[in-house]
Amino acid sequence: MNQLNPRQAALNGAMIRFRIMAIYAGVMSLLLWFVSIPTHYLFFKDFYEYVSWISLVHGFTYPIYVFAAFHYCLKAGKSLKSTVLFILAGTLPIASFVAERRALREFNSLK
Amino acid sequence: MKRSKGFIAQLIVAITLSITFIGLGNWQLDRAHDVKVAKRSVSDSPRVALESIASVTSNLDPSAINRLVEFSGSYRQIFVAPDQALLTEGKKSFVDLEVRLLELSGKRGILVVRGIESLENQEIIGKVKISGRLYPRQTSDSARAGEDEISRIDPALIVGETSLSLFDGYVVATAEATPLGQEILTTRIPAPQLKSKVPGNYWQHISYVFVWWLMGLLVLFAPFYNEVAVKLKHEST
Repeated sequence: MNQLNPRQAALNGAMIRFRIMAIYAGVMSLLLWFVSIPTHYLFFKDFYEYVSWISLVHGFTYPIYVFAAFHYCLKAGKSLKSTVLFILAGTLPIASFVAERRALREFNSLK
Repeated sequence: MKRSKGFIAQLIVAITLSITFIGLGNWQLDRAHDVKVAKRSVSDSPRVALESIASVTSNLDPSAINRLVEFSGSYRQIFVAPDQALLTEGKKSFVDLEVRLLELSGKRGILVVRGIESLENQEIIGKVKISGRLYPRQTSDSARAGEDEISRIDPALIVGETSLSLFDGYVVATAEATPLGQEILTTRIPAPQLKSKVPGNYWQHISYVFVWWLMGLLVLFAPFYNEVAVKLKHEST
């Protein structure tokens, strides 16, 4: 395991929390957009009762992602615009995975 | 501490956004309440005369929907409504329904769903007394209509074929009888209360309430963001 420099060490906790929540929010968004919403409004509507928990769980856990993203952005000194984009990334499929990759790249390049 | 005009403008925008987000949270709270009310089971009110809750000159009042009604008249036309969804004991099936146009006094008419369509059309001559439940007109087609068929149970589809003034909606008959009280038998369908289609469930809307309120709080922090971010960055370096 690589030794963390002081800036990385200061950001490490917020970074880990953000990465966990970004991956979790990404998975939940994929389920929401490609399983829950189609079965609710488009096709296999009888199947919706088995997947209705997805929107419920996503709704209640998204605020945790928002806190994690906000805390990470604040500690990393990101601009307000980046912070807003990081927070919104939790609502779109794939976007939070992209945010997580970008955050990790920036974290690794910290000196 | 003296603040710049830019900061004041940011603060005003943030407060406006915050009020909007909190309003959206309150809207979701109202929807949660609507869902709760809509899914509450309501006991049936006593049966009433159709004319007392509906008329041919206006659309069906929401309070008239699901009411148990009675009326009498003579059947004029027979239609089949193919592929209608039927829910019996939790199981969904598709059946062809027999729908008749009943003429009431004063050149008025209403669609009556008698039950499942049978090959031999029962001939019913003279006056019939009907008890049933009043439903709103269907708005989406269940099948493509052939001859003497209707694609959905909607008086608008037959308004050109009759000189009668039609009631909005339709009645699913639960009993039919002759003026002498003799019951007319056929294969009836269940006539349960319609459940509201307000989408979502209670807790789903509550979760959105928290998300919107949280956004409302966070956006208030936006004008101070840069200051705090710079301070935290200095602390970590």
